[in-house]
Amino acid sequence: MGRRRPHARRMAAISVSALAATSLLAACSSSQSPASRAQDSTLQKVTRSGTLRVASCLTFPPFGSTDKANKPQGFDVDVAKAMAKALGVKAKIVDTTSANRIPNLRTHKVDAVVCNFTTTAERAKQVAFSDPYIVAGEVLMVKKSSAIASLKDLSGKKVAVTKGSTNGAAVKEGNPKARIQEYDTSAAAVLAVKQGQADAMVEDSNFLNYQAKLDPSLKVTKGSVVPLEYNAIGVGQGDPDWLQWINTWLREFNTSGQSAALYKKWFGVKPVYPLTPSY
Amino acid sequence: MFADWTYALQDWPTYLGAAWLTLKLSLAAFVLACALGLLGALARRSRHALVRAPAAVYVEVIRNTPVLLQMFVAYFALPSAGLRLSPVQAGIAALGVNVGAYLTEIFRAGIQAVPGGQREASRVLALSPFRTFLHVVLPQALRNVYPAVINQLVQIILGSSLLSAISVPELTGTAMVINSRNLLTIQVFGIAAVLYLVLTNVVVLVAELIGRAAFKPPLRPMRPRQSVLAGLRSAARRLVLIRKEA
Repeated sequence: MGRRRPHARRMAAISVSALAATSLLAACSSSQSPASRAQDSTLQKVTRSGTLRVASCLTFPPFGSTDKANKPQGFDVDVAKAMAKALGVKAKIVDTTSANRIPNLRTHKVDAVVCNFTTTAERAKQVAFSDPYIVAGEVLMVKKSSAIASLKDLSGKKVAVTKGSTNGAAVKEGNPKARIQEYDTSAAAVLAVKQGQADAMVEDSNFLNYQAKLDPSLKVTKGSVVPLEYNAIGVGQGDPDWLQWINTWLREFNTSGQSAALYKKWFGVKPVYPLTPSY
Repeated sequence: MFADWTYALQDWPTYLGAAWLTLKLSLAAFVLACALGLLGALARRSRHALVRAPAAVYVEVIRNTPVLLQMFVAYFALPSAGLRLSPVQAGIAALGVNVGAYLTEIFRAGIQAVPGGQREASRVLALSPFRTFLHVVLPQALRNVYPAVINQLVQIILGSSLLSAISVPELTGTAMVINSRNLLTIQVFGIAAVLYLVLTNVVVLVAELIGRAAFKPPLRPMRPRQSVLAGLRSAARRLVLIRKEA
């Protein structure tokens, strides 16, 4: 799912770059004392107003969706609610799209973005990222009975990928003997594995863990075929107090096991990759 | 601009391979469709209701469901019933079965259009029913419906583009994959469109030549023959006339 986004994000980034320039000028011209800056921090505003406004993507289950009563639900939504609880305020979930994440922050429509937001140096020019709270890789999904555990085992095997994703190239590079089948959607690729038309498929690890949770005849392998992606909470730039609070809270959230419990709730397994990168 | 086209054309072996696969599987599906169509037409004209009914069900079910759905059934659902087809096999089966239903009706119309006097004359000449069909009815029926049948062949070639949904690396699917890599949308799909035009026109031309050679009296061309240049000239003349009127 993530592969279609960078382009849209770049478009959004371009459209707000003019805004960025003006706000930068404003920041330079005003000389504030540390005390008054703390007063102006989003942290103060949120606690004073009693509401935390969080942008989540509600069309990307299991990260975000709506339940039968049309209430927001999902992994990201639960993370946002946990954050609000720690602040002692109410969470207000604002539905957004991948492309609108950065504009939402830059125009102060929301206090934070919790929406499968992969950290990249490019995006960090526009927004500030917290420490990561979830990690994604591109992994293999196979039938439970299958002996396939890594790219090496794919020689002569049929591997389902989606058209336009970088996974096909990654598989060919890792094992030129794999036979690639290209489908239009991730759902069709999942179906191909379920029906035995493909021996394995490659997709986002969290998406596949969710699929494997829905269908116990499937399992997900551990090794990622591409570098891991770290998703973080996005906030506006120039507010160190707010970012500092989020990072401090995230550490508690992760070390207390709340994060792992939420992951287990939504993806059916324990988190696959550690939140701290090892090089 | 020009560089984009030459860059997009660097993948020409892939395009040609995909076009070749499209042609091969379309012809295979066409052969299957003709066989099914002929059998279906005979069954629909049978005296026995037990033979007529399955043929009627076949035609109605297939003609009234989308071919994409039939492809999904052939590829994704049949393994549950114990029949596992490769993407290409499933594609040929789905396209063949789909167009077979249309050809059933086309062949039936062709057979019905053969005048009753022909059959009566055959009986007078003491030809067996089988020989009557083979030597008298069928050649005339085929002559009646030949252009419509070739239309169905073109439909198969164009319909094969849907097979990319079940991962058949045919022309459209291949173009989509190349496009997602080089993002030269206009160039990539332009090349694919040209290849489809070449493919269908060559197939239709060959079919016309066969039609002229196979039938007695020879089948006239499906449209008045006109050289490309003359066609352009008359189109230009028409355009000028329209301009003048306006």
